[in-house]
Amino acid sequence: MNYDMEDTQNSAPGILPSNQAAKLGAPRKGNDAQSTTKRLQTELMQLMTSPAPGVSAFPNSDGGLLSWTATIEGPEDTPYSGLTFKLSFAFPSNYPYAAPTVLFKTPIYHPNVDFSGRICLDILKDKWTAAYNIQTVLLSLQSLLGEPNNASPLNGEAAELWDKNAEEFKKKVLGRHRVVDDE
Amino acid sequence: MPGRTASARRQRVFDSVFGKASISLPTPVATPATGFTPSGQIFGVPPARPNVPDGLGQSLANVRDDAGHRSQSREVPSFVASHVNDQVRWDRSWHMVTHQLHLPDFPENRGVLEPLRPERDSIGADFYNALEVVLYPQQYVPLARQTEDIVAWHTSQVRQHFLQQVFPILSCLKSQTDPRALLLRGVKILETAHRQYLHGLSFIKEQIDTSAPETSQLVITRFARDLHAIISNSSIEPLQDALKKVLGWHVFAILGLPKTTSLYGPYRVTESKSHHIAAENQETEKSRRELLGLVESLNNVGLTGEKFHVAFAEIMNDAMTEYVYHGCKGIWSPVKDGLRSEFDVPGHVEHSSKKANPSLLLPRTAHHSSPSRCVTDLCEWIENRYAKLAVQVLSMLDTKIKVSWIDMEKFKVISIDRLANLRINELFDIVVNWPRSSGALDDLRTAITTAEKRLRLTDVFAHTLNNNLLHPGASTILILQTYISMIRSFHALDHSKVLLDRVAYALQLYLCSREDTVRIIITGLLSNTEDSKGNPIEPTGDKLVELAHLLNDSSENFGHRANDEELDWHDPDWIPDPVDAGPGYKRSKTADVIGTLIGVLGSPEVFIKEFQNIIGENFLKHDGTFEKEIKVLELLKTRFGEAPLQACEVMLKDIQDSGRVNGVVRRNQNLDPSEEELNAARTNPDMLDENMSPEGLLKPSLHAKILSRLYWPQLQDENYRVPDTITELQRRYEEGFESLKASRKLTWLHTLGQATVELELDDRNVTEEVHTWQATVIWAFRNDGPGSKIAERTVQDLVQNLEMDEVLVRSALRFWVKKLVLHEVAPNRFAVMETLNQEDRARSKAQSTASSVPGANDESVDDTGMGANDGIGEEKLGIYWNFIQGMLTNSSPTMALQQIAMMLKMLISEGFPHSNEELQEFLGRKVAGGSLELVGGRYRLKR
Repeated sequence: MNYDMEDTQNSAPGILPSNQAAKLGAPRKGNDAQSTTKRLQTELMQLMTSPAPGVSAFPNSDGGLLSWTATIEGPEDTPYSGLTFKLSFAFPSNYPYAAPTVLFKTPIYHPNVDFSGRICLDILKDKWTAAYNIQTVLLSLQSLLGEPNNASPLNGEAAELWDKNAEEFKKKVLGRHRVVDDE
Repeated sequence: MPGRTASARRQRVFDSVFGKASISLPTPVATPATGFTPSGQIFGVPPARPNVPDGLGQSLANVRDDAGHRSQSREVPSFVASHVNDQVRWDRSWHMVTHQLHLPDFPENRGVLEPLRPERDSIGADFYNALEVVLYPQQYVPLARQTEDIVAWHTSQVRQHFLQQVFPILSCLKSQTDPRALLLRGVKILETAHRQYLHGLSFIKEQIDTSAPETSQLVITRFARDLHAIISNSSIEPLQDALKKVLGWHVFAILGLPKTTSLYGPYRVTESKSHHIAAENQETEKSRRELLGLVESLNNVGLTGEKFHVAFAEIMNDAMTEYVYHGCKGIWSPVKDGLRSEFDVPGHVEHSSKKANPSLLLPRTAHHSSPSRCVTDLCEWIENRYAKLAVQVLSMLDTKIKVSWIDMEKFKVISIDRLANLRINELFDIVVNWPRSSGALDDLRTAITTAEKRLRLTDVFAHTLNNNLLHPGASTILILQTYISMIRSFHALDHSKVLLDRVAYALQLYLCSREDTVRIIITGLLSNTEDSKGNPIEPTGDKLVELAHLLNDSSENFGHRANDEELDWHDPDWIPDPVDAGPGYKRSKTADVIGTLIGVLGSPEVFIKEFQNIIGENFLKHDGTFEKEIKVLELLKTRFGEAPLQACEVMLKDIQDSGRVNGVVRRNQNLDPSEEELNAARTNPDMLDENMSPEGLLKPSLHAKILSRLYWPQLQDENYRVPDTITELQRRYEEGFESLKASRKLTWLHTLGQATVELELDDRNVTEEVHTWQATVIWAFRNDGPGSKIAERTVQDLVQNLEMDEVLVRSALRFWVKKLVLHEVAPNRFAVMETLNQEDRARSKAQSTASSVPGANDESVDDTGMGANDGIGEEKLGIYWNFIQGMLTNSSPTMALQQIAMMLKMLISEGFPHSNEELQEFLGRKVAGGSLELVGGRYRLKR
């Protein structure tokens, strides 16, 4: 019986102890599943140790670290205040060298979000760099709620209403919002 | 000629299939077959015999006369003429007979009373004469070339009639929904048809009887056989389902089985839990009569062919399965429970005499010293009801199958086999329910006789074990408890331990992968078997108290080496090793639970190390004689030998010695309670309690335990500044010790001690048994005089003043906050709570009651063990809480404890070292705090 093995046997399979993972992960760079997992794990730890107000994210319960769910609370003084929005994050295997795919799960009425939840945000597209992380993306999205980019709207009507009729816009926002409770 | 008959036969077969009614049609009279023209005869010449027309013209009534003249006519040389003559006569007779016997159409709703055709009255002597000719053509018309067997003809006409007219009616019956009515109707139709067919045959039979008695029987049986063959082969098909159902009902009713089973029940009633075998009563008798009546009528119409046998066999098979799988399922207790016996009373009185010697009931193969209840019941049931029914039914059938005594033995063997299967599948639950399930183990012991069955038992059990227990969802305590049950129940099942060894291997391997196994075993061994009031503590979920019970139980003689037995040549009870014992097999007479458990852990080092840690903790924390520790130590010594346990011995000796040294030093240095204190104690009414010692009442007092540094595990040497009074005491104690043991020096280990702290607050007094570092921290808050400002300290102050590690300081502060002595007035700033408000008072009361529950105190102390990294754990909880919040917000809104633990283990990179129980307790605190709620076993965030 090898008792040195005790620790690793009890920990979850596939995840190396941190010291070992660091050894493996450090010298490598590139499209490596190991480093992606490690990066995501670090981000998770970061999110947990220093959470930002109004946003949170967590891996889905299916076990893989590559799909997360996040929650954004609508900022005060915007039509979205008091509402919460769920988003799904799907990380590519070469994350952070490619942007995650982010979708609104909660129906949202917003100039830069279309009706199936796709988001028009430059840092999620061509402006993505590895320096961004989940938290920054969430904070960007939160500020996007207050300051939509009406120059390139996905929802033209919303963009127009935002500028012209705030009252009506707010009504549309409330009308579209729905609490999604999957699972 | 042979070609001709062959073609005729083929024609008949052909017709019977395709239904061309040519045979049943009367042969035309006008064109008699003349046969081939014999050689030498001119073709086309009319028959030479002039008297042929006469012959034809003769009344058929004279055929007999004619037969009488046959010898004369034989003498007529013209054989051609006689050929034709005979043939014609044959043909006419054939026509006559077949015409009469032709079966009428089968009316669908034919009454029983309706006369059968042909009616007996309408038949004259002509018919009988013709029949005679047809029956014995050799005798009457020897020269007729084309003759046929009238019985064969009748059979084929019956077959055709049946297929064309009766069978469709039967097929239509399928639409009937009630199987009973369907069967009844079907049988009636068949009976009618049968009567019709036999009626036709009866004429032939009569004729045969009159002309050639004795031979008719053969004809009849052959006909009956053919008829039954066709009926049972064709008509059983539409009736089969109904037949099976009705048979099933009756059989189940007769055998006392519940009718509500899925197979034969008319409706699916929700299965009731209490399966019991109804006793024989009026109902079963009625069913029995009905069944036998049914079988008789079926037999009469020929429905009891092979298919019936198969159906009946299937039902009997199912009945046995039903009895075993439902009647015996879950009945594990060794004595009859009330419900069962209640139902047994009326029917089983008659058997009570037999019960006196149950071994009579068992089949010879299963003869065993102590047959178990279920097996006895089962055999009794087989003998008195099952076999009886089989005999009765089979005797109704005209087959050669008879149920013999040997068959009954076989029934019993089969049923016991099934019982064994059932028990094997239930075995895991049986083991878990030990010792309430000893009856079931008796069953197994009776039934498991061969090595193959033993192998199967272990295979199945190992599989269930793997599925049910060896996964992260089961706590180590649960696994160990199951293992203990396994050891004992398998020992009851099989003294040789072979079975246990086979199933336990995977379990042992798995236990080795659990970190807390050793600790749980040792704490179990060392735990109290009785609470403070002397009541035995029931085994609970959090400690393996069973082990302590076992340890105290003297009947369990552990530690005896098994090989003593091998040398005992005079042992009259010696039995050879089981055939399936593996190499290195050692026999042991007792279950030896503790021995086996310790043996699980493979290497003694791990065990001893853990044991050392735990007794070290106990030694330091408590005073007393440590009887339990000594007992366990002795046990371990017999198992592992003296040498590996030397360190523990030294530890024990240290403690015992330091008790003495302590006394001497204290006396020499005047550290014992002073006169003042003794007086104060006498005047203080609270001190009347004898247990309260007077010492420490007015000033601090010090006791020491002197440890041999090398032999104690990981002694923690964090240092901090102890209060001055204590330092003074320590100095005096040191002096005393050095004067006593000249060459030795005392090094104080501040953090390891225990202190009794008495706090006098404005509105209350608090007395706590705490660690020394906790005492030191609260000391720092002390007030020098009444009326001064409430003491406030920051964490930084404390760290600096006490030169103590910040982790320890925070941990101590948290402890005192929990005890409602301190509170955090601002971040990192703590103050003494001199007075409690209403709410706090309630909480403090609740706490004190909670801590008075035996064991709860131990728990809280255990948490802050020697390792001193408990403070870090507390710090971590904040992050864990973030994780839990994160997953409940995002991942899924409700989660079970198990899931949460899994996620934490998976996602926290440095691992989640806490057990599910600890997590549960943590979550429980959150629930109490109102940030979580527990709904249906799942946690969710409170909104």
